[in-house]
Amino acid sequence: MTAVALTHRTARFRTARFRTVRALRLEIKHSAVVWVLPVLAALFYFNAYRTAAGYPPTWTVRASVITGPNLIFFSVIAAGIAAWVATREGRRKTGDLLATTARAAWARQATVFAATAFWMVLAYLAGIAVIYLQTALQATWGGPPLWPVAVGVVGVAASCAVGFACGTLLPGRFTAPVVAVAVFVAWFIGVAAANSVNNFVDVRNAKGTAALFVSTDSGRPRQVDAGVYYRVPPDVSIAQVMFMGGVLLVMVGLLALLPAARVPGARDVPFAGRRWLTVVAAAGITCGVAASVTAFSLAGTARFSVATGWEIAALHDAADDHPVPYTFDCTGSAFTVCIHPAFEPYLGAMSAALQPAAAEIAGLPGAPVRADMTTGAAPPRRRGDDIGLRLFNGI
Amino acid sequence: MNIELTDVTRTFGRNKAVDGVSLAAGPGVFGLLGPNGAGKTSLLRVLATVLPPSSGTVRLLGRDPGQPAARTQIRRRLGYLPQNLGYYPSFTVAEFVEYFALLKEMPAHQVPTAVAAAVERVDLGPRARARLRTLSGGMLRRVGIAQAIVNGPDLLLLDEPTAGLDPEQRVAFRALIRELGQHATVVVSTHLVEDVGTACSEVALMAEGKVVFRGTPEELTAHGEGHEVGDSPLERGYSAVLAASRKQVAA
Repeated sequence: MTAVALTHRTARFRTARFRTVRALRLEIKHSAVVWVLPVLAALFYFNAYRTAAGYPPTWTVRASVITGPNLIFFSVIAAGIAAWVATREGRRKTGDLLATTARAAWARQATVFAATAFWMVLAYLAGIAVIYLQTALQATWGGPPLWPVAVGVVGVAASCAVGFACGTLLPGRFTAPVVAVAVFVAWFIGVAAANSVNNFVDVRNAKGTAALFVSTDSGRPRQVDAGVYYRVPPDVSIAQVMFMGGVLLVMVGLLALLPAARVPGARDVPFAGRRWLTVVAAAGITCGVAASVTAFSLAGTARFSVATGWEIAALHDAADDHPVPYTFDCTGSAFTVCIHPAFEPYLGAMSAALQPAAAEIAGLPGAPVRADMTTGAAPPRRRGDDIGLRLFNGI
Repeated sequence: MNIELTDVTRTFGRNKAVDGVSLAAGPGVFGLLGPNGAGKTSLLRVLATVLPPSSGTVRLLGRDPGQPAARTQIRRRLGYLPQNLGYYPSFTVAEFVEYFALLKEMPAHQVPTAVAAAVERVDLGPRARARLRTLSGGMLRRVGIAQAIVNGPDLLLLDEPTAGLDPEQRVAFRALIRELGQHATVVVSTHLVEDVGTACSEVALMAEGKVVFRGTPEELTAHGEGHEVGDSPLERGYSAVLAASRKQVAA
């Protein structure tokens, strides 16, 4: 390729990028998602923020909220609103007018989809930021887990893609509510299955595929010290991102092919004549199916570990099995009460509760002189003159 | 020639909306007349590359719209105003026109100027920032015209462009399409005969999917001599040609 040709090509790319950015700006400005932001904010406040505020200020427990019911409601609304937006050309009767423009239908639709996904993901991330900010102000140990964020973002984007594909494929006035209800039912069935698995007495024998529907200790933390003594392995999160990322790829691939069939009255036009687009879309769909099927298979091998939660052997890092090092926060002289630094705000209350009991037995032979907090995953133990205390949900 | 149609047919099921139409047109204003259901809109949609012909050949701006790359090039130089203009109510006038300028893949640096010029040409400059939901039917029609002309098209297809415009606006609009017709091929589909008489240099009359008359407005007027149906000479010509066509079909 000559330098002149390359320069022309670069200039064409720049001008195409400018057009895309301008069109995206218009779509973002006029996106229907803006109208449902107050609803999303209210759902977030009642469903996620208040729930998180009621949990101890440990990062993993607070983060469990963002991939729990919060993700379900965001997904339902994302799918519904995306389906509604996708039917816009039919509702507004702009199909003929848009069909005469040079820009390919898939590129036009991709801009609309991107604007919808942008607002939904932004709203979701804003919710996460609020929860993490609140936790940062209260937490005394650890840092924000990022895997739940990845799971949530991919989940919301995938829901948008599912809704948008349904709206493009089956445009109609009932498409949006039907899609929203269908996504809700799918989540409900999955979460119900996962919860029933979690409630089994011997959870180690449970089928792991249900783990796809719950993040690591998501929605309802099993232990308040999850992620404190042991790192929560990202095994299930990786499988979830793969599964939903696969769904996202499949739907985006379908969107690239669908406009060919949806141009009003132009079904017999060789509209999808651009072979590269067909090839790219088919490759995307194939990769998406492969990712989702692989994730589903991997989730089937998940086993529950009392210490760290769900583990998937193929994705598991043995380093996650080692305890996380920490230094106790202690108080008291005659009888010392030590607590994990993550629960430092509770040290005073814990000491106040234990000191009267310790005073009763002080000076007796073999009486304990120190109480250490231990993981809820291990049974209470006694080492010499110490006693171990487990922390339960009812903290 | 910007438009070359050879024996074009378009069917919907058993209904032949366009029946063996052959046309050729270069720069100028071309009027497409005919009663309701004559096939004008279907023919315009074929010309707009929205609808492929069932048979026959179509060449627009010297290219075959059946080829994807050629179709894209045609669409870059095409302006289209459909009979029922769909629009997005939350967009402003300028945003709507800009949106179509972007979709028509205009060179990026020309877009702002072209949008401003198109909005001014339809006399909507003072309302450029008004949301479309606040505009009257006539103003919306002008917005539709603005989006059609924003890219300076070589082929401009207008389906019932003056519907909803007040008399003053119609006069201004006719002047606009006469001006555009100096360089581009403007096809105006209408059943308002006076639009054709004042703005078009050539006219075709369609009935039952066929072109039953092709000539200048003066020639159409000449057909109406002695015919009594119609208020103006052109209307009488229009009625006379249609009546003759119906007689022929009946026979």
